[in-house]
This record gives sequence, C-alpha cells and structure tokens, in this order.
Amino acid sequence: MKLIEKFKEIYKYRHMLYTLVKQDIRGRYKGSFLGFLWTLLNPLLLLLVYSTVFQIVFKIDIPNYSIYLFIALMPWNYFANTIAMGTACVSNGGALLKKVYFPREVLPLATVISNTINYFFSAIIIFIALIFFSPIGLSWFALFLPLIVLIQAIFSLGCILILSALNVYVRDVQYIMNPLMMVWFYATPVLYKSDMVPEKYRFLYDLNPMVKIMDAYRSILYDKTMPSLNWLLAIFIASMIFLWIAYLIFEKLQRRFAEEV
Amino acid sequence: MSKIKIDDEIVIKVENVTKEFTYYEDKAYFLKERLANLKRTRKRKHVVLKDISCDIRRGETVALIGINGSGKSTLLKLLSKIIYPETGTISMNGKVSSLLELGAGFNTDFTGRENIYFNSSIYGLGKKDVDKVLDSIIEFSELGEFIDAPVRTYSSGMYMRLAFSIAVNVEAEILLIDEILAVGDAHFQDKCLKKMKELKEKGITMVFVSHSMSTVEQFCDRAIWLHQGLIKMDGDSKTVGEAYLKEQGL
Repeated sequence: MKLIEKFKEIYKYRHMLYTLVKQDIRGRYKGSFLGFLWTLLNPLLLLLVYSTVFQIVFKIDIPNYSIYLFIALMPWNYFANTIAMGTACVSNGGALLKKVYFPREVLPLATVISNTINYFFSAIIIFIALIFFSPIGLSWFALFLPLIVLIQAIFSLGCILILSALNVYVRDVQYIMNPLMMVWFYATPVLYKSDMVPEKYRFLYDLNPMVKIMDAYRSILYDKTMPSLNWLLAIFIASMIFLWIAYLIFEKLQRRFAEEV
Repeated sequence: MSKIKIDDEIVIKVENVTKEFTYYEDKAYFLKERLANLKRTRKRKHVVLKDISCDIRRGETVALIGINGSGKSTLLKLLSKIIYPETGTISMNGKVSSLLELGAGFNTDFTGRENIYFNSSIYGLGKKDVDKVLDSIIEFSELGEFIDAPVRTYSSGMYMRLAFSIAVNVEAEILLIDEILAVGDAHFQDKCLKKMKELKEKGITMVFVSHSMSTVEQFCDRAIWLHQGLIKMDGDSKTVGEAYLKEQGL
C-alpha cells in the first residue's frame, strides 16, 4: 500500500485514534489530578534516589544536580514508558484485532500520542520546578521543547512499530526489552553529562540518537542556550528514514496479526 | 484501498483466493521453546479455502452456507480484512461493517455506552455522529439501564444485542454477519431479521453465515454453498438451500 493511501486511511480512523488516546489517558489518571500525581510518584522517587546517591556518595560536580537530572529523567521516563507500552500494544489488543478491521498502525500511534501528551503534562511540573525551586528559571529557548519532543516521538514510533510487530510472533521481545532499556538508560546522558564520555568512545556513543536528544533538552532548559540545530536536523532525518523502514517491517508482519495474537 | 478499479455494480470481488492456516503441534511463543523445539516443531498446513472466486453486486443479500469447517467464517474474515489470503485478491467497494463470531472487540471494563462510542469510532464515527444514533442503538439493544454497566457484567445475549445494534447503526454499505441469529431469544432474532430487511430495502449489501435454511430461503436472494473450501453451488437461495438440505439427508 502506498504511503499516501496509508495516511488517508489513518486519517479516516482518526476518531478511533482519538478514542484510544482518551481512554488511555483517562485510565492513567483515573479522571483526577491526584491520579496525575500518582503517575509522577515513580519518576520523583527515582529522582530522589539518584540525586541523593550521585550528590552524596559519588559527589558529582554538576551544580543544581537535582534539577539537572529531573530535566532529562522525565523525557527518559517518557521514552521508556512508550517503549514498554508500545511493545505490548499489539499483542494486548488481541480481542480487537480478531474482530474488527482497522489499520493496525493505529495502536502504536495511539501509544506514542498518549505518552507524548503525558510528557507535556509533566513538563509543566518541570517548568514549575525550574522557576520556583531552582535558581535557573525559564528562558525563551524552552519554546524549542515541542520540536525536541516531536523528534523523540518519531524515533519512538519507529522503535515500537518494529517491537510491537515482533512481539506478536516472539513474546520474549517484551521481556528482553526490560534489561535492554536499563542498558540504554546508562548509555544515555541522564545521570551524567555527555561531555564526561571519553573522546575515544564518542563516535560509538553518539550513534545513540537519545544522546543528542537529551543534550537538546538540557541545553534549552538547563543551560538556556540554543540547542544544536545541526544535530537535531540530522536526528530528525535519520528518525524519519528509520520510521519508514519500521513501517515497512510492520506492514509486512501485520498480515498475520489476527492469526498469531 | 484496492488498486483495481471495480465497476459500479460489483461491490465485493473475490478472485482466486486461497487461504491456508499453519498449525504447529505445540506452538512456541517464546524463543526458549522455539530453540528447544527446533527440530521437533511440526507444522501442519490446512487449506481452508481453495481458489475461490465470486462477485457480489450492490444490494445483494448473500448467505454463506455449508457444514462446520467448510470455510464460511474464514471467507467472512477475509472479506472484513482481518486476515489476508495467501494468494488471490479481494476488493471491497464501500464502507464495511462486520459482526464476526461472538464479539465486536468490546473493552469489557468499559460500560456499554462507552463501548458504543469506541466501537463506532472504529467505523469512522466521531462523537457527534454517535450522539445522533446513540438513542437508536440503545433502544434497539433493549439494554435499558444496563447500558451504563461494564460490559463484563453482560450475558452473552446482551453482549450480542449491543454488538448487533452498533453494527447495523453505523451506516455501512456492506454488512458482514456471522451467525448472529444463533444467539438471542426468538423475540430479538425476529427483530434482527426485521432490521436486516429494512437495510436490504435501503440497498445495503449483506453477506451472512447462517445454518437456518428457512431464514436463508425467505430472506436472501442468493446463497453460496461452501464445501471443503470450494464453492459447491452458487445461485438462487431456494435452489441452493434445497440442494444443501437434500445432501444433508434432511
């Protein structure tokens, strides 16, 4: 199927997409502000643990380390949740897949959208923390945030198109992803600065698209400088190509979804 | 979405469709099992439909008949694009609404009302569009106050009533129904048939699986008799129905 036709078809199913996203967000927050706070509990506890350990035990030399960490921990949390939920989104949609036709891409797409919305909610908390609980404050560079989020969303969508389709055939994928995400977490500058990585490993290290994405979040919110637009453009283009390949893989594997789930 | 331009008359075109299912004697879902069973896993192929071709015209009401395992439900699933054929092509011209074997993919934790919105959204209806037909769906389903209870608390009859009510109210041009009339009491069956007659008069194309020959004969224009994955007979519903019953020794 041609890509344009696919877009048209997904547009035709926009109401379904909207309902899926709404259901997911409502289910997550259970319809209350307290529900939203509950979803923050996990990252906030992690923040507490990491900032204690790294400031007191490792004596890391980064000023305002807690907020420095928080700025990257939330997008990482967004990424990790998208991958975890996304990997299982097709295999969990069994009942629906067997009964009704809809473009199967709707499921991963809904996962990415609802997690993105969730991140924007948590970004409000980041802004509040920056303004009221740190000497850093907020600058106009924060307006780049949606752009960085968009690039991250495109990259995540590519990842989960492949992972969700594979998980239908080999259920291990969702279990393999847990430890893999932990490795990925340490390979991404969340707890530390990307500059701390020795020069001779940099080439390998920069192959991880999340490195420059995290750097970008940090430059606009923590350093209050222009993010590296060259890098962002490069990652954007690479993510689009990756998304296209991922789509082709998904398209190939989706033909037997209803028989395999 | 089809690449072939079909002429206005034919809304469903099935060409040389073959569908086979692969059965594994013990299906390995996990890598560990897959590696351990590398040599032992035996595949068995079962051809469900063999080189089937048929055309269905706009406004036709077609019954698929045949004994269990003859490929009726598989054909219906292929038409609804839930599964794909190994070879051959299927083109559908028009908006399809389907109701396959017991279920419509409801989220059982949500209420009936919420599922109406969700299910209709799959058929391309937005909130406003659903609001317009909501009352007629609820009324038709006869669920009354249960419409606001979670679907998991429903009996199978209630479940099907809701599923049927949605499927016939989303204004599809092609309706695919699998043995719906097997569930539900006589009163609801009767109501379903009346509704389907109404849709038939509106010119909606219908394909449905049925084991009730009396229904087939009085309601359908045409019947397709499937036997062991082949079309054994295709034609006027009365003629095909009688031949089928004769073969069954009834």
